[in-house]
Amino acid sequence: MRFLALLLFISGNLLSAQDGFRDWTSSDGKKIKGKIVGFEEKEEEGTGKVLQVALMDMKIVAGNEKKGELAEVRRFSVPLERFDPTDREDILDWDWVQKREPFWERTMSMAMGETRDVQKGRRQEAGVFDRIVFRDTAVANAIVQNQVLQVRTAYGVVSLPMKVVAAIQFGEDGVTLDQLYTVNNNRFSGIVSLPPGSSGGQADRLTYQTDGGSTESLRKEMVAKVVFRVREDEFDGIDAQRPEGGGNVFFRLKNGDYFDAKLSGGQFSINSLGRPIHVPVQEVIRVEAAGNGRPQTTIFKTNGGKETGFFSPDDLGLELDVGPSVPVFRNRLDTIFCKEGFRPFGKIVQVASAKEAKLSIKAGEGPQSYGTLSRVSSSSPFNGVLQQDDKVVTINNQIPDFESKDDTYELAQEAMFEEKSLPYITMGILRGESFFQVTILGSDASPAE
Amino acid sequence: MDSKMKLSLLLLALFALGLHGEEPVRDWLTAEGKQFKGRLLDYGLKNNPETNLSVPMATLEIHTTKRTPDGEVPTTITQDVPMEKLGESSREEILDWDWLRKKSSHFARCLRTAYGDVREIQLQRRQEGQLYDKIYRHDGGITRGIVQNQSFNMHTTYGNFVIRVQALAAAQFTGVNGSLAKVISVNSNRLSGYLDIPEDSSSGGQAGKLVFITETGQKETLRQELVSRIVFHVRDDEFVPIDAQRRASGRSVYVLMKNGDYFDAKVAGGVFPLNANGRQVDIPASEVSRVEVAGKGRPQTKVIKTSGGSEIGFFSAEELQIQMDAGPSLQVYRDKLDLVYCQDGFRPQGKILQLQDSREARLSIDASPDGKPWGIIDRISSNSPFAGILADGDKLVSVNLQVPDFSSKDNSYEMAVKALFENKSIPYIILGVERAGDFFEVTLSSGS
Repeated sequence: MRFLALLLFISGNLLSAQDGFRDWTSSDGKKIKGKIVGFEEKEEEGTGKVLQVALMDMKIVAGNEKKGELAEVRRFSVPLERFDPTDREDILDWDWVQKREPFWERTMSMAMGETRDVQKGRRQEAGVFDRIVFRDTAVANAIVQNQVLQVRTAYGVVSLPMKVVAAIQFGEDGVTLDQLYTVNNNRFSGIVSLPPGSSGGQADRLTYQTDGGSTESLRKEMVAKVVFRVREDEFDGIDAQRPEGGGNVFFRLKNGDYFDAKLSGGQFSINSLGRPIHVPVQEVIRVEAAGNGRPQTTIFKTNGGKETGFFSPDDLGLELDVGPSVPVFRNRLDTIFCKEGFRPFGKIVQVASAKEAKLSIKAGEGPQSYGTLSRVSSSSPFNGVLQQDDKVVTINNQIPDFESKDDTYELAQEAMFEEKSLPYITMGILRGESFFQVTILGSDASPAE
Repeated sequence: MDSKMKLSLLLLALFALGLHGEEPVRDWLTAEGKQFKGRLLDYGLKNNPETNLSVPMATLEIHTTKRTPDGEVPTTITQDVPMEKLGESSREEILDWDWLRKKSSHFARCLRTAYGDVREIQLQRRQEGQLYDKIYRHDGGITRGIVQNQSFNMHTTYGNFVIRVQALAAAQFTGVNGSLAKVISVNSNRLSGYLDIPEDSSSGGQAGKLVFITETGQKETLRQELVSRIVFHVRDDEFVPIDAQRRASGRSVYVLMKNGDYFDAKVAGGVFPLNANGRQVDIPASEVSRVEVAGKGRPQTKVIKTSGGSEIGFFSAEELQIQMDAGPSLQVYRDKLDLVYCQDGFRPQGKILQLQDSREARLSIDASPDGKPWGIIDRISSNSPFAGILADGDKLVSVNLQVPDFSSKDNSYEMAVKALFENKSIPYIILGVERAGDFFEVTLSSGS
């Protein structure tokens, strides 16, 4: 949020006042009030020359502006070269921000409670770095060179390109498991290993280029956390992997991991009292697997019907959006959400109303813009999930603001319960050094609607 | 206490009496059916002077009478009696006695319980019924069978390795919630990580499948994800490879890892390579009492020698080559180590709690109401040294790796405390504790 606010501030400066109009200077020194509304590159008629053109709303003064006499606003296409050099750069900056907004909205601006470094401006001089936090609490800004990692999970080995990883936390002393979040907010936990060779390095060594330009390498055991910078192309592989026309599914596992994947074959197959049933993913809202051994599986369909049985293949073939294909044994599954865009992360808390969703959060001290839970009453639906002093470090994957009168959580509550514009609220929580996510769902609907 | 458990304890008691005390004078039968009184002293192959052949003989102290001028007076004669001259029942009893005698070191050594569960064991020569492994499933089902898989793969936070099934006393598989698997080897080592079953051509098992022969002789397979726990029966030869490994050159040391695992192993070359202030020193394990590894990155390592001196530095190699007594060989990154005990016989397990005296060691333990041999911790006061380690309701499922007895007046724990603090006959007490299905160990040592 703070980051987005900063970007808005930058673009606001370009546009000046509340109405977005500011003074622009032409190449011959003339000034006029205007507002950029578009930018494009197009061929000049006749010459075929590529022209950079700003689409501007210009105020043509029709009387005394100071006396409140209205100016006439007209839209013009103005070649970039008609502006003075400073304003040309401002226009290119504006266009750069416009083009990146959908990307910024999609990226995780924070991962595991830490802000990811990101290129904030077209003309930003400072480089963008990964943040490596060492066990001895030292921090380095660097670019990690390892190309892949492997995580051995309870359900198998997952190999991931490093490019899709947003953050890794290495468990301390092997007492706690390693966990990582990918750029599409998938979570994997287990034992992370760094294969040799991908960056010329040895096995289990993190190789990185420091901000001073030197290449260094050290054992993964000396690293506590890596928070990766936002890479411009970090969604490329994921987008290529996502099936066209939907069919992408969100799997939550009993060990707390969750990820987006395509189900091989595109249909769920269950055995219902000896009868094989196949339901295409497109006809399913969610699938719940309960119990151990041969867990009872209920498929909730989009038409309101449901099927109960157990998965007839032992393993479900999953093609993860982040790359690899993994077979997952049916018992490892918890809930599968099939509705496009419905992605409840982490622990799910169901609340009946905005009143029930109320949380006592005070603004955190220091430079980080987190909120701190001042208390959680025993009658609260959050009891047992959240606790006093937990830090709310993200809301809906963005950096929250708890300093304003209507803080980010209150705004999200309003959007969810009053405006109904949000299906749920996702919070990133930091408890000590450990990070987890909580999704608040309305209890008036089932967890998938 | 179920009848099987009672029998087990009874046999153990009889066995202990038979071995540690003198055999009682009792009636024996000759091959002709004549009864005589005597005490069994020995059994073995001995030369029969009548035939000059080596034959099995029982050495008996025969209680009889001899005639004297004052009449018959009691006397004893020690005599080697060929077994063929004894009645069948006496022969069998002598063979039972000899069997127990030979098994005594195995019984004393083997892990009788694992995860609070008694391992099936042959306690008598003529015991009926086969021994089985107990296979627990996540759905609550239990099957007795003999596991056919030869090895399991372990993926721990300090390395990946293969471990022979024969080296295992029990295996707790990865939980449904993803909790790590834990295996306990027959020499009471603990290893944790992700466990998976490799393809096994000898048992015909596919990867990820447990293969076992049931009590009815059926060969069955089960997905590893469906298995919760296996408690293996005590095999007669389960220490053979471990002993062979221990006998190999170099001293076996006892390694405690920072993640709570512990195992017996040899370090490569039998030395600890240390960089002490820039000076490279290789310290032979045989000259070391213990090694303490503290800190991170390049952890400060203190090598305390048997001579009383010590060296401080850091391991000069990032990884130590370790050869476990239980079989696996692996490279362990130096930071993963916590403590290494190098003196024979000192093998604390789990959390280590130092206590000053028997008063500090006092615990309020109730016998399990369901007749199991476990003790239930009644309460732990906040000022007890056990506070934060044990909790109300914890089950004490083993004391010094044996099945405990909490129904007798002097329960196993009290006897162990007496042995530790008064008789000073044991160096520490190891408690096996079960809490909500999870198992851990605590070692109580005398603060002195």
